[in-house]
Amino acid sequence: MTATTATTPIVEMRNIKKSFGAVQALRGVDLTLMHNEVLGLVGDNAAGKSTLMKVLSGAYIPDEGEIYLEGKRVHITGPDDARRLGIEMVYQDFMLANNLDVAANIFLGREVVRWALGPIRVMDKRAMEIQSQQLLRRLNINVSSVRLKVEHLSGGQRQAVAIGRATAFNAKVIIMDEPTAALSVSAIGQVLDLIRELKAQGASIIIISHRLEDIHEVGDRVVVLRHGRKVADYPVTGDVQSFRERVVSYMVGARDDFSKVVAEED
Amino acid sequence: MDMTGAQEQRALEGPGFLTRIVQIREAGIVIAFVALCLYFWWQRPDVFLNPANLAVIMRFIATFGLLAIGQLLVIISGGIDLSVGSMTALTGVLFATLMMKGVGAIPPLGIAPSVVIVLIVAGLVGAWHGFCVTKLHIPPFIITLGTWLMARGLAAFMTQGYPIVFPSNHPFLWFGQGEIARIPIMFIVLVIVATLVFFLLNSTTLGRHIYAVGGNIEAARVSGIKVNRVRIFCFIVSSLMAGLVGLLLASRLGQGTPTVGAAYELWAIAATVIGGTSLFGGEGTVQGAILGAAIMGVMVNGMVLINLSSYLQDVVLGAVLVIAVTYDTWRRRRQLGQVRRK
Repeated sequence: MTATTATTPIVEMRNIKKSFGAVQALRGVDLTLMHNEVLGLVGDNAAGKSTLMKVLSGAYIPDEGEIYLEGKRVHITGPDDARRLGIEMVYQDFMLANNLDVAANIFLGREVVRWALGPIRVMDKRAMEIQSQQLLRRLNINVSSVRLKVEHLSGGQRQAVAIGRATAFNAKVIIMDEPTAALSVSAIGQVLDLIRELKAQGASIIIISHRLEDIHEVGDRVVVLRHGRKVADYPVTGDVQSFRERVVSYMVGARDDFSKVVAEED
Repeated sequence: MDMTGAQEQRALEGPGFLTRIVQIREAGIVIAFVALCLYFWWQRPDVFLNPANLAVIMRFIATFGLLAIGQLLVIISGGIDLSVGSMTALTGVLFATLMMKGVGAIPPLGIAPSVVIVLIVAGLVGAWHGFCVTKLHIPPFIITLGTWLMARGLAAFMTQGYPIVFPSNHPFLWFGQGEIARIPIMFIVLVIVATLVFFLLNSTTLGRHIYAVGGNIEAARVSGIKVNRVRIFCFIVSSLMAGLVGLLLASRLGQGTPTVGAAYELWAIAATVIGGTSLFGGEGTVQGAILGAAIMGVMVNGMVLINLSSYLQDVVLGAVLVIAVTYDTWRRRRQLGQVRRK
């Protein structure tokens, strides 16, 4: 098992194509994510990075292409499917119910049920609170109580709760869509710490971000999309300045590592 | 109890002050309620606490409390139901027609089958509201406003404007007029329904999902909650409450009359709002809604007892509504500020 996990990617997307009417959002993208890897997915607006992740999280069904999870072909036809397979998405705007407390949000849609009679399902609130508390402590998320309503939390705490929620149910893959875009500088530090913590605990993560310094700080590898194609895929190395310059050159089309491949396919 | 340490114990009990603040929300209403009772009792010690007067107040609270509970669910889930007043008229008239006259070739029915049919019709109206809101994307305000007009019109058409009167010894009248140990049956119905809905909102997954849908419908959707089903459920409950109140009022008045329940939807909304429900959705409690109805019931009754001009009564009630909402908004903002500063 350990031998195969070391070499088999946890996620492999092959030749993913997706069009919306006349617009080709994805023109045959390959993407792999290794076990315990943090992958940065970058690209200009409309490069296709969000579309690609929505394909993986079940929000979109691709026109063409295959998805393999731990080497096995999977067919993801909806967000529920993706969740069941262990693919969790953390949304840019947190997607939390501000009127509910932290524990309720972590377990939203997956409440611990004490007993059920047909559609009447009675929750075990205490179990949810204790498990939420343990989860937050394990991830070093600093929230004074799981009974606090989310509306009382800071932006960084909300993002931490949203990420914690995604990891609560043994997720294999966590996709984060711009996890730091809506946050203050200090909150960004907290979220990056949390991502490092998750990696230390063995998680495999894909981060979509415009903030290249974040990818440089926590990412192992970067994939650049441009006009629905992958144009770069290499490990994160060097200092921030040179990393940023190199990524930007791919983003704006000055460099392209995969143009030959496309030429052959065409 | 599989606690792993004192730390968790403490963390779980952490926001003691917060829970206390949340309790204060209802405490404020309870204090206002008690103060009103004391005032009217002081003003009219001869009448206010008479069993007969208390029964009047309890019937009022039952009527608007039941409507407020239905309204509460719809409002928490982010909607509004303007149809309930007219629905009480339509269901009352439909019931009277089924039981006294029969419809077309169907001969007059007994109490039980008539009640069942009326509640099914009410439930279908609620399902219709839910369907239009979730599938046709019609705003709740508009679709229930349509029913508000249509139900009233249908009720008048079915009876050609005249009430259908039950014989004065009809057993059905017990529901609206009967008492057990000086407690009106109507009030007992309210207590039972309130207990069930309290349990639903606080202990079941469906209850939590109702709050989640009202708080952030997109978050609820991506969490795998069947958002549409939840919203449709709330509309069905609201219409069922209107049907139940329609039956109780018909029984209370001894007739099915198309003019009953005018503006009751607004009274029910006022009761939920006085009870701390947010019209923006996601906030509200059963106990709050009933306390809101109770405050209105005591005021309407007390103002009559102290001979306040009936014109001024409406002015006072309107002022109470505004004060209650202002207080609640202020309290909530203050609470938010306190926690943020911590």
